[in-house]
Amino acid sequence: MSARREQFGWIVLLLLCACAMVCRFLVGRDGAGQWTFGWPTSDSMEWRVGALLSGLLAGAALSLSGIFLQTLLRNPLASPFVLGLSAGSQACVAAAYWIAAIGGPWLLMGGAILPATVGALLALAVTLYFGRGKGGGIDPISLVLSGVIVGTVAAALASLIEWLLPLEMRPALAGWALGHVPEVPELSVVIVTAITVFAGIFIGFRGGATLDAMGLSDDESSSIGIHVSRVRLYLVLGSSVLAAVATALCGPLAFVGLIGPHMARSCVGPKHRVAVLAAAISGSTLLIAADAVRHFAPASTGRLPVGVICALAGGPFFLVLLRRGAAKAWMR
Amino acid sequence: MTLKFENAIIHNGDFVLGPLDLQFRAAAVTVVIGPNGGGKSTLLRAAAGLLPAHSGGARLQSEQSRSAHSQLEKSQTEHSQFEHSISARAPTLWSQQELARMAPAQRAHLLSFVPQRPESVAGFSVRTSVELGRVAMRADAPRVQLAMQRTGIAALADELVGHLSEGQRHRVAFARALAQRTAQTQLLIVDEPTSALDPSWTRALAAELRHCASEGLAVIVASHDFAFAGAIADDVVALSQGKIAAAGHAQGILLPNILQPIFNVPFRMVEHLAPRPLCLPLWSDAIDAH
Repeated sequence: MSARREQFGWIVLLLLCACAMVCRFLVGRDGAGQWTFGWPTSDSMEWRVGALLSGLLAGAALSLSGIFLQTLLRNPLASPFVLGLSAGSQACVAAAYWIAAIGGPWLLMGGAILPATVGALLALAVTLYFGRGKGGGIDPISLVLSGVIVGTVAAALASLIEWLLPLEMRPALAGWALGHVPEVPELSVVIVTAITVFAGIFIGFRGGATLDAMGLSDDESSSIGIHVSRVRLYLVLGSSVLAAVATALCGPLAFVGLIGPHMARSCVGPKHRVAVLAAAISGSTLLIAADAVRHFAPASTGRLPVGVICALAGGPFFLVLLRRGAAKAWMR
Repeated sequence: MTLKFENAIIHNGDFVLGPLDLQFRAAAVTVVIGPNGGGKSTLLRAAAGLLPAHSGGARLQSEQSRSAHSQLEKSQTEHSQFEHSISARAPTLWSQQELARMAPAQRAHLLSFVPQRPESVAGFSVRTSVELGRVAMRADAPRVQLAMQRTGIAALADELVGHLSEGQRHRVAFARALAQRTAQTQLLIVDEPTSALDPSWTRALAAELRHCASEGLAVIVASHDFAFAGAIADDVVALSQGKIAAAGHAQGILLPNILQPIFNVPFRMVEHLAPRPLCLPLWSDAIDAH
């Protein structure tokens, strides 16, 4: 990709991001809970900024997780959903709610971030255990397959636990489980997410060439000097923590982590040194845009959950990728 | 540098290669031949430190600094601290276990490896793919350019690798290995490079491999192409069913009476070819039989 084309891509990306942010900033509820379009009043300003911040961070975290997973698996269809991380987080957060319902709310003191991380890592451990190839290393294909199964089982577990919860606790968890961008995010979750997002961008910038080389076969990347198993471990841990913090903040959102990296690569090219930062911006743009669209969609029984918008827009995108044989071309 | 395998046993999944006693000489091209499944790729991967060898192991012995250095290497007077540390170690002995245990970044300074089926990174141009060879060392644009010129892909530099033919992609992988070379590089390992190349690029590759050997590298090539092997080989190792069937100087191995039992195909010397006669397999008898 020529430098000129890359420059143009950055401009497009940043403009899109700015548009999405302005749209989301101008739409939302006012102090009385009424839907409004326009400059926020002083009492609703905090909500607008909170929603923007949540979307910015969660979208970036999901998209970073996605680009790291796609690099790890050499598979353009990979996303935090593929390894079952989002569902693992969801199941563990649901379990934490259930334990809190039995043992007292003080058990949820730490918020959703701790159970989400535990869930993502547990899902990851199971996925890795069943995803190992013959030689003991990670086999990308087995890993994807076992991730899909782990995700399915974890999502079922989450539903089961939700069903066990006392009735009054269900709506909060159900809303979160459908995916929402909180207008009043928990400060601790925001801080942890911000730190992981910046760490992810920094890693992409510093280790861009190493991540590029991970696209080669194991033998080739090893012989040009990449410690393949170590880089894989970092990618697996990094992408799971990123997916966990995003899930803790906004619930399981499927396709932001898939589309973000593709949008970034089509704008600024495939080199990780630039693509990782671009992926973070793309993910933020997508989630904020979805959150804005949600507010424009008329719904007689309240606004649509943002997870529905993401799935409606992202599902077809996944199918288009599949149809184009992207996975095959990548894994050749 | 000489790479020695001493009583080495190499496991690659269920496949066992060895015990091997072998020596790959510096400044020489060793061609590894053998039937499919004979262990060629396993041997090459072990030589590249990608597979561990057990019992005895292989020794990587550095000889005195190589006599011939290319112009480009001479221009590389200043090296990074890391390259210096390797340089200081160069005269010592390495066992193959140590080579296999060595940090990949350190090993990348010592050897380049081109696998049988090189892969390309999605969306990468030829130039960026070749530049990946320098990922563990400092960038070197002239060397990358030279590597692309020597493999005839300089004109394709801005093309996407995914759009190239298989033969062209092989040349990209070989260019990456050439771009990876530093003043410390002592070993070049290429697995079946000619399978996708047309005769003109096979010829160019043969010249390039001989050139690398003339610069002092130990060059190890696996091939099924006997015209190619006969033209470039100083030494030949014939592997069959995980054992060495024959090994030694090319003139002593590339002979019908030695190759015939290994491949179960008749071979014939074609004497009149310069600079040396070739031993080539014959298939016409199988066709005549029908």
